This record gives sequence, C-alpha cells and structure tokens, in this order.
Amino acid sequence: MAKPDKSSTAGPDAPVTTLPPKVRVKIVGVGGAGGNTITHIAAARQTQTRWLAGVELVAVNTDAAALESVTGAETLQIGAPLTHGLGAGGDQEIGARAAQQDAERLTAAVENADVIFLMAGLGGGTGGGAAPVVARLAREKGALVLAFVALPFSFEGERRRQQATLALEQLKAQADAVIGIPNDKLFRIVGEQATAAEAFHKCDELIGSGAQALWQLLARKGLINLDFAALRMTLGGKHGDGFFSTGLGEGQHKAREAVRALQENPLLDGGQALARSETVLISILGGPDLTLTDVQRTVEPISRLAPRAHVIMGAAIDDEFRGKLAVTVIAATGAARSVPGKPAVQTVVVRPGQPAAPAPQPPRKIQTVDVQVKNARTQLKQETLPLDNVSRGRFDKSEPTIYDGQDLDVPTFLRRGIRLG
Amino acid sequence: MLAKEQIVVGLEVGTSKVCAVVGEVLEDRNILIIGVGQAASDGVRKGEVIDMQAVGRCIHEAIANAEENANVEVHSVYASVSGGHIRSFNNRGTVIVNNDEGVITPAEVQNVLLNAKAVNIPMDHVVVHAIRQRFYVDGQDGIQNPVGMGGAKLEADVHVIHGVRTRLQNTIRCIKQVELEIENIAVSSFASALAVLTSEHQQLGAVVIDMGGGTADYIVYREGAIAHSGVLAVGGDHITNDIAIGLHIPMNRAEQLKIEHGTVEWPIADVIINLKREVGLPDRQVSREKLAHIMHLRVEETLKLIKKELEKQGLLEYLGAGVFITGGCARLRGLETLAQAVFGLPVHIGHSHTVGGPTSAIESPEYSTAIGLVRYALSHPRDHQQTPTRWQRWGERVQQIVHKVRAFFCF
Repeated sequence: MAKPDKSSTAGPDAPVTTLPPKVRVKIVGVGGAGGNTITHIAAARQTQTRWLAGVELVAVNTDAAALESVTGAETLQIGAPLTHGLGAGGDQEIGARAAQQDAERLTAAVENADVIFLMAGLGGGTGGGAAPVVARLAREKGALVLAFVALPFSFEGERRRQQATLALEQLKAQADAVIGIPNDKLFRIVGEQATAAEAFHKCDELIGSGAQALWQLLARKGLINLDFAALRMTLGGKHGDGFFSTGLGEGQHKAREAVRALQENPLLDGGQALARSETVLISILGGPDLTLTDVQRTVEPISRLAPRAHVIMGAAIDDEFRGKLAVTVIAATGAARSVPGKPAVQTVVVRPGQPAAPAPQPPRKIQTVDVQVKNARTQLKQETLPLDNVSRGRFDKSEPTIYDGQDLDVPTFLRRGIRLG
Repeated sequence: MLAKEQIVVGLEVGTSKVCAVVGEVLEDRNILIIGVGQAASDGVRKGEVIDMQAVGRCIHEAIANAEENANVEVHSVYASVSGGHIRSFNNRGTVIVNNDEGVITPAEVQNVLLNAKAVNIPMDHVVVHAIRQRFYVDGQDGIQNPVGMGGAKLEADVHVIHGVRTRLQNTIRCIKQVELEIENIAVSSFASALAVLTSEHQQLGAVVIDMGGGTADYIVYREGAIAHSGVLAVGGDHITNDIAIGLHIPMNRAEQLKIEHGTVEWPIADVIINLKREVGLPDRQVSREKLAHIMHLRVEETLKLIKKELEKQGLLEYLGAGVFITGGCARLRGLETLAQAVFGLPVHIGHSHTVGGPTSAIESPEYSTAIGLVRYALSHPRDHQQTPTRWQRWGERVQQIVHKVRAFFCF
C-alpha cells in the first residue's frame, strides 16, 4: 500500500494530518444500475474532457451479460459459482454472498484509492446486497466511501422498497456517507411524459454530476481550496442521510440564477432538506471571471437556508465556464434518524478482522450524544421541536409557500433562529 | 345596464370566513350596502379550497345569512379568487391605424386591447383580468382615451392577471354546487382596492394590501392605473400558527390569544397573561412580550416581502397616497406603526370609502373584498349585449372570446 499508516487513520473521527499529494478517486458501480451509471460517466467523459479526468471506473456485477454492456470501464464479475453469471435475481442474500465469495478480488479493485464513490441501485439483488460489502472492503483499505444510491420507484412494489430500506441501513453502517436519490422524485425532474429510458438516464446523469462535483472539489485547482481532510472530517463517519442538488446560472446574474436552479431541484424538497442538514458542502465552478462577490452571492443564500449546518465550500476555476457558474450542494444530516417502516430485524454486517474498530452501532450512539450536547448549547432550536413535522403546524399538508427558497409556512422566528423572550 | 338587477351580491370565499355582501345599485350608480352575511370558513387554506363539501356548506350558510339580513333572495354572485398561484405582468399591444381618415375609432381601441391581451401564459393558466393601463398614440405617452385622435400607431398597456385554471375552478365549483350563478370573478386584491381606494387615491398612487386569513393580496395603482399586483400566501393563519408553535398552545387558543392580547408592536413591556383553564388544559401563563415578538416578526416579514416586490418593480416612489391595509389582519394592534416603519410611507388602516349604507359592515376591514366585488359589478356586468351598433363587428369577436373564457370556467 502506498501509505502504510492509512489503516490506522481509517476510523471515522481520526484526524488526517498529512494530505496525499494527489487524491486518488475511484468510482465503483455495483449491480445493474451501478453499471449503467458507470457507462454514463464513461460516455460523458468522452465529450467533456475535464469531466472526472483520471478517475478509475470499475463496474461490479453478478450478471455477466449486464457487465458486457458496460463500456469504458474495468469490469469485475462476482459470484460466478453461485449465480453462473446470471445475476442475483433480485435476491440481496445472493448479492451479498457473491460479494463475500469474491472479497479478495473486490479488495484488489478498491485498494489504492483515497476516495471511493460507490454507485448502486438499492432495489435489486446485486446493488442492494453487494454494495454494503464493497463499502466495507473499501473502508478497510482506508478509503473514504461515499455512496450515491438510487432508491426504487414506489410502483416497483413493497418488496423492493423494503429491500432497499434494509440495504440503505446496511450501507449507512458501512459507508462514510450515503446520498440517496429516491427515483420517485425523478418524476418531478423529468416530467410525467418522459420515457423510462429518459428517466433512468436522468438518474445516471444526476449521480454522475454529484460525483463530478465532489471530485472537482478535490482535484481542481481552486480559487478557494477544499481539501480531502476537510471532506473527510465533515462527511466521514456521519452515517447520515445525504442529498445533493445542482444548479447552473449564466450571464450577469449567474450566481442568483444558479442558486435559484439549485433550489428548484426537487431533490431539495423546496429547501426543507437543507434546514435539517448538519453538514453542507458547497462546490462552485466558475470561469476565470468568477468574482468573490459571485461566490458570496452563491454561498450566502444557501447557508441561510441551512442555519444549523457546518458549511464547507470550495470554488474552482475552469476556462470553459467563462460567464457561467455551476453550484453543487452536498449535504448530510448528522445523526441516524429512525427510518419509518424500517424492518424490525436489522441485519448488521460485522466487520471481521478489525477488532479495534467499533461495531456499526456504537458510532451512532456517540453521534446521538454529540447531538444532545449541541442541543444544550443551542437550546432554543431543537429542544422540543423536531423540525421535520411540527414546525409547519397547520400547514403541514398544504403546498409549501416558497419565497426565495424559504418556506414561509415555517414560523419566522424559527427560520431566523431568533430566541424568544 | 343593471336595470333588471338592482341587487348585486359579492361573495368572498376566504380562508377564515365566507362573506356575502348584498348591495343595491342606486339610480345615480352609487351603491348602498343593504345586508351582510357571513360564516366561519372551513376547508380553505391559504385562499384555496381543500375541501369542497365543507366550503359548500359555509357558502350556503353565509348566503342564507345575507338573504335574511338584506331580505332579498340571492341567485347569483360576483366572486373573488385568491391563492399563491396567481401571477401578473404588464404587456403592451400595438395596432397600426389603417382607415381612411387616419383617426382612431373604438374599433382600433378594441383591436389594440385584444392585441395586448394575446399573451403567452403557462399552458395550465388562464387570464382572470386584463386591465387597460394607458394608451400611446404614435409614441405619445399617457393617453387615457384615444378615440377621435389622429395617429398612425396605437399602443396599449394592459395589466394581465392570471392563475392556474383548475385551482380557480375549485372556488367556482364550490359556489356553483350550492345552486348559485356566478356573474363574474375578480381577484381579491383588485376587489379590495375598488372598495378602499377613491379615484384620487388611484391617481396619487397607492398600494392596497389585503391581509386576510390565508393570503396577503396586494395591488398597486400608479397614476390611476393598476401597475402591479400579486398574492403572497401568508396571512393571519400563519400568525396564529407561529403563536401556537412558539408558545406551545393549540391553534384555537393561539387564535384567541392573538385576538385578545396580540399586538405587532415590539418591544413592549412584559405582562404575564394567564390562560384560563379549559377542559383538559392546565392553567398556563404566557408572556405577552413573547407573543408580541412572534407576531411582530411574522407581520414585519410579510410587509417587508411585499415592499421588496414593490422595490423590484420600482413602484415605491409612486405611492403618493401611501399604503392601505385592509382585510382581517388590519385589525392587528400596532399594525399602522409597524407598516409605517417598514414602508416609510403614510399608512391607512383601510375600510371601504366608496360605498354607503346603514350597516356597520363598511367600517370593517374584513369585508373590503366582498364590498369591492359589488363595486366591481358596476363596471363589469355580466351582460355584454348592449354593445353599440358601431361596435357590433368587434362586439361579436369580444363575445366569442368571452364565451371561450367562460367555457374555461364552466359558466
């Protein structure tokens, strides 16, 4: 391994003091959906030269036929003796076993990386079953694991939903941050008339742009540098829900336009999601004409929407973005929230061969304590008001009144964080 | 025009109440309010219907109440619509004067207005109003009536107010389901302005803010014409909701507290308010200062958002007559001072100046919209058939369009 001390600093809260000279990023797509995303990214790289340049792409699947259709990436078939190359048939158990059988090959695929982006669709057998295993292996090799996962459409049925929920829980226990994209929200992005192919393509595009934005933060020469350590400190070990959104603005009011586009992204829930976040990463990409005022105009409204969050930002310059500004927000809620409809039996994959590392549950407890301490400090905000449901009160079920990205149905004093009395 | 129908009824289906105002049109075209009926509203949120049945019952109750008070039978109403989906913009139409004398005739005027109303709005939207603002003849500004003038090019500015068709229809359907005919509809802000502003105010420039239960509807007059209008889906309900959340009390108590002790003046000296015991609720003490603070923040914010809109449109300098606040929230204590501080303009807590009548209704800001509807009836009767013969050519066209618009609304 290039950095022998890596495994000792792999714990979520361990401070990273030395920075790798160049951050090595790998993107691993697991299962059918993951493979499609990898294909999409590979294709996008053909057209946009700087898009995720130099990033290794790996597609992992049990289904040999599906792997054949993946182009432009290294492929790895797992669980051949188990499935005879025919896929997991929607059974996560088989997906997980396949990954465990081929753990050595997977380990070889994920080592020598500082950051692993894991792409998967969680409803299926391989995506849902193998992705948590891959995440665990990658973490054991010292990488920061960020998972971008698609959650199945609700019309795909209850069984797939439950599978996905279970897989999401498992993945959260293994990866540093999990960013879920509910496919249902795709409807709102692509419109009802879109074909299925368009919808899935859009999903791949979204996930790809999320990975791109993060990678850009790490790899580009920036106006304001965001480094690997900062990323690790904020996203690492959070085990929270994540989401992201992008926006592009052009012309004179590019910052304002970009922020507006960002807010209109359905993945943001009209700004609601930001209000819950504990960590917000803002990535700005602009041309050489990017001014600090643009940066300020972009960051300020976003941080106002996320009053509780620790905001980290980076700005990078790209010649092709002259007169344009792209902003990407990646946010994570901190503590693990209880997921409605969570299966009663929670399967926890215990990491073998790492006795020093805490089991997946304890970090959550630590996290909870941490939150309580925080609450004691900012007593007003959260003591009795779980922002999720109570704060809209009477307007809980009505369409939110969004003005400049704020939900006006939420009491003014709460939105502004004003302490009463 | 109203020869057969001397009685007109304005019906406002609001978030907190449904109210019907019965007006009598006198021979000199002045209006006398002869009766008012109202019912607590149920099934409306932020100005829009969420429960048709419940709203139907409320309308029925309000109309029955009005019929009793005014001693008339109500068959048809003028209705107001509101909701956060309502948008507006200004548009200009142009025609080339192309007749032998080179003189502008009513035909050209009709034509240019039609041209100005032909606008691009979203597919699911429908135009509620297209109100003429001013004309230009060969570029000459500020012409109020161009008929008879000579010129080659006639232009007209109109203010177009549009909203989502299905949502507007919900209110209309509710009214129709209780066997009432709808003569015409108007947006709340426009109706309120008709009730509150005199023509002098309109000339001087004024903004009317109708702060109701669920929405704050505003409309700006500049030099006698409507310059801007909008709906902010924030109203008295939001204040109550904030209080309920901030003081941890149920909505109905919050509403009561707002009415009995509420003020938007802040800071104030603190007084402890004892909440009386209610079944199942222990005695509680709340701080009036805290109550005032919550209300102050919300109302100040709402006013500031409206001010921001006006600033964006560059209209603040044209409000010579100042700010007129009406609607139920106009009763909030300290509102005048707060609004003055926010706008830096004279503020009037408005009630209807433009109608007469023995009832106390005209003194109450919450009836402005319904009273305004009665006035709206004067200028916008349902009957378009008395078009002068000279206009008939165009009248037919107008009618066709009117019919199309009505078809949208299932009149």
